[in-house]
Amino acid sequence: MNSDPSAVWLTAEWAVEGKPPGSVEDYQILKHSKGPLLHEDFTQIIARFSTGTPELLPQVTIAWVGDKANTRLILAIHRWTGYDGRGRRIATSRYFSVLYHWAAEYHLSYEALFHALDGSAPPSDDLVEFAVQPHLATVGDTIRATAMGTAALLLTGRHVCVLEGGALSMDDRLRFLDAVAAFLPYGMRTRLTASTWSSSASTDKIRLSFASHPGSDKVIPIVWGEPVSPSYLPEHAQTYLDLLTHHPDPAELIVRLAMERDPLTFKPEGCAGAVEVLENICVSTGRGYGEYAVRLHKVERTLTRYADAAGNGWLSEMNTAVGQLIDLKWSAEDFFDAERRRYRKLIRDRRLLASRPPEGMRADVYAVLLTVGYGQALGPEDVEEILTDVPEPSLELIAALSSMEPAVVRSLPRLLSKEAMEGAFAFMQTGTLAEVAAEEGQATWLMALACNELVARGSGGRQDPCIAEALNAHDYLIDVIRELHPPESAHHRFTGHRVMLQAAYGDALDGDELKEIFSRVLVPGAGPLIAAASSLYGSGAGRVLLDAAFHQVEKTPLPAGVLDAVKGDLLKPELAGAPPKLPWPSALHRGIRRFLRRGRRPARSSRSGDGKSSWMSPAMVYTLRAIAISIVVFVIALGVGYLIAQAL
Amino acid sequence: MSDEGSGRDHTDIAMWGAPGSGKTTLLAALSIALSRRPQQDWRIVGGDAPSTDFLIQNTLALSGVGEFPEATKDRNRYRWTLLGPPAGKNGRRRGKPAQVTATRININLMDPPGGSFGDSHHLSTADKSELISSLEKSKGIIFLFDPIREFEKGDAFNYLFAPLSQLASQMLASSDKYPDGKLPHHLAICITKFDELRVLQTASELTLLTTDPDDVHQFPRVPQDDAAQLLQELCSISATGNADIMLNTLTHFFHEDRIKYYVTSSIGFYLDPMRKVFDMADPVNLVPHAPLSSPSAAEPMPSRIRGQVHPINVVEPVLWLGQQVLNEHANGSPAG
Ligand SMILES: Nc1nc2c(ncn2[C@@H]2O[C@H](COP(=O)(O)OP(=O)(O)OP(=O)(O)O)[C@@H](O)[C@H]2O)c(=O)[nH]1
Ligand SMILES: [Mg+2]
Repeated sequence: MNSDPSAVWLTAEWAVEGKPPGSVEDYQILKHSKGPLLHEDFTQIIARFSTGTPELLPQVTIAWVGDKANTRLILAIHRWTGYDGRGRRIATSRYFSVLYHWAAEYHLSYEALFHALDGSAPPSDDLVEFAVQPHLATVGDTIRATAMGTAALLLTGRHVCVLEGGALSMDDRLRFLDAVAAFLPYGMRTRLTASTWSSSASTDKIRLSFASHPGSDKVIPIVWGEPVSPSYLPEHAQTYLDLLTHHPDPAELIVRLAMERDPLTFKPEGCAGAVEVLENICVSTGRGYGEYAVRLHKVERTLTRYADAAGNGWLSEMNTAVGQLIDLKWSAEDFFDAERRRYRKLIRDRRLLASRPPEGMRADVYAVLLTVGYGQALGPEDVEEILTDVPEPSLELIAALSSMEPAVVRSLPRLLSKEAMEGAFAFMQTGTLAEVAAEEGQATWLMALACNELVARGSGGRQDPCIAEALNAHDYLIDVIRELHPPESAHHRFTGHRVMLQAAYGDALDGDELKEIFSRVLVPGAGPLIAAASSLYGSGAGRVLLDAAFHQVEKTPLPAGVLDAVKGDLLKPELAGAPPKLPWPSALHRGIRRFLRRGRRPARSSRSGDGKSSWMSPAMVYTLRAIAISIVVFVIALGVGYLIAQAL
Repeated sequence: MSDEGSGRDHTDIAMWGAPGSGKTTLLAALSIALSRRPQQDWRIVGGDAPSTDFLIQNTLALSGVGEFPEATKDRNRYRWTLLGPPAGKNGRRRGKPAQVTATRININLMDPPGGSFGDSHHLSTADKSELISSLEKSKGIIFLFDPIREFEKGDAFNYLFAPLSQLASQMLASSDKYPDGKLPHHLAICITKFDELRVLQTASELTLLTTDPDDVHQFPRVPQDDAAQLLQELCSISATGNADIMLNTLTHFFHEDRIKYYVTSSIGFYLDPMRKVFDMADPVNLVPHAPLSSPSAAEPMPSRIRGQVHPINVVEPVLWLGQQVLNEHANGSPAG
């Protein structure tokens, strides 16, 4: 029958159901093999998996019988053969039974079994011997999505019938059944029944079939050629579908699923088992894909739990859920688009961003929700979407939006009131504040608000180490301070920097802190900063400044002689003198803050109003000295550069 | 098919008869039969998509291409509604025109393969017990007696006795719900294939044939009251001669006043398209397939209907059963 050397030889038990030509009797088993399956067994099989009165033949039905080691796959081929005694066509059905473990061992597809068995002529009593190609179903692009969707639908435990497939050839329909089975663990074939055609009534008997109508509302109808709408999938089936559709290599997936031979049922445990099987396959697929499975599950479940808790006001539940969301070890860039869309949908559907959890929790809640639902992709349209969903956002939400993407802050004033914006700054993270201020093209009043908030955060003896970090990361906002104050008020730049530094480091700087600041001053316009920093350090600041400058020189790979000479030159002149004990009373501090709040408008009143102008002159002196120093440093740096160029 | 799905307001009616006795064809001819009634009083509509499909497809097959339904392979169920003229008096109430409400008879028809009634080891036990419970649930039974089969095989009794005994034991043995010891069903006994020559001749010999004066085609009929006599005669010439026990058995198990006899033909007699009047010399409407008597002869051929389909007594048994059940409901219903 088949001389192909790659084919495997197997045996099948069989039975033929039909009528002798010209008979006036009903359908019956005409003959059957004398193997372990008896006449009664075949009777049961035929009754259990009947596909009803035939309409269009040939057709193929797939079924199963037995369990454990006795599990058998049944393949029935129905064809018209002659006429009965009443002149009606006879539908003859040949049933073949193949031990499941053989089919599983060779990953036999139903189509392969059909082609191998269709041509076989049953001997009188014995088992049929047949050669079959041990190959898996290949799933074409055109049916892949439908097959995946159908596989996921079957995991609901309900029966599925495919409507409007009547125009397809029987081969095409069988290929589709095979494709669906291929997207399930092979072990589910121990319980899968499928048919290339069932009467409507039989869709209740056959798990997956092509039919004209679903037999009852327990059967899920899908329409051939239309996408399987998975909106009504329960969570586990949806997860399964997501894993299938996102897998980078469907062909590999089919191979891996075919190796999963442990029997699985379509009961809830079996369906959950199938999801687990697929998750495990995906985890070992690599490319970061596996975590997706687990994450999708957890994130959705936790979001839902949070939503339920928030809806009922269960604080501790909310807390736990938020904690879990924060604890989930993912980073937002790993999210698949489709995955994020689902999270976002859940967040929007349940109006989670509109909810106002207790204040202590709010920042965390919004931050985590935005990361999960929008992540890195948060752009102006997203902000608009969010603010359309939540027309009256809490200040914390605005703050959270800003920290997601500081550039967004630029578009916020368009969408929010000024008060809301001002209020929101209080809730922004320190790093965000610096970023918002330093953002290119930022509105001046927003810059001022951000600086103001930074200063406020570090005042009153509660300096915030994050401020120093944030300032350092943005060159101590040299450009921002310059932008906020016109060139003629250099002393305002000085005080601006000074209060900022105080907020970050306190009222006095130590050597390391000063060095940290000076490491950023070799840029134009750094004078006021150098002055402000020096004023908080006192005597020896010049030395540190030169050290910082020399540090740059040392980094240059110069010959030792040149380096030594330069070092000698550079470090000879020393600035000396005790740092002036400059008082910075709170009144002045307040004045500066007010000034910052007003942006460019110089806050003259702060000086003239309280008449303590004597405080300003040392400041002026310092500013001027610092400007002088910075000029010296630049000249030196230029000189060093020139020397180096000469030496090389 | 599963036995669920019978709506609560639906009357369950079961078809009962040997393989090939004409159960499915009778149902297939219902639509045509209704539309051929001169009164045009009743219509049939499907209660679900498969039931509607069955009516459409079979009407087209029978009348369009002259094809019979396939042999039934599984217990089929159809939900239909018969819509008829308003019941009772429809006077005007307080000057307002009376609201005309069609009479509705919702039926849930079970059409099993004839083999289900046989005492065959080809049936699974589950199948057998499902059939019996379906019969138990039914209020009406259409019992088909196929005279052709009886001439040739004479085994009608075999397709009656076993299931009837089981039904009786299930319904009558344990409970005293039926103190008279009879099954509560209404029973329409239909002699099928009246159009076949041998049946027509038997009726003719018994001088039971009449014609309805209103029938423009002048088709022969056997009046309702004479149907039982024809049945008796047909039973007596059965191949095995035990058809008469069949009749006795039926009257034993069911109330005689709930039995009605019909002489039916789903396809009716041949009508010459030109003359449009029945011709006793050319009555046969079935294109003959290979004769059963000589199976060695030519290969069996498909049966075909020769001309138009003019069903005889096809709607009547169904309507009668439906109305009996309606009346029972209206009158506070006897047991069952
Ligand atoms: N002459 C004649 N033949 C009929 C009539 N009704 C049915 N037949 C013949 O009887 C055959 C069987 O009819 P079905 O309706 O399929 O019989 P059934 O009782 O449903 O048979 P199963 O489904 O096998 O149980 C048809 O194919 C026709 O050949 C009729 O009214 N007149
Ligand atoms: Mg039938």
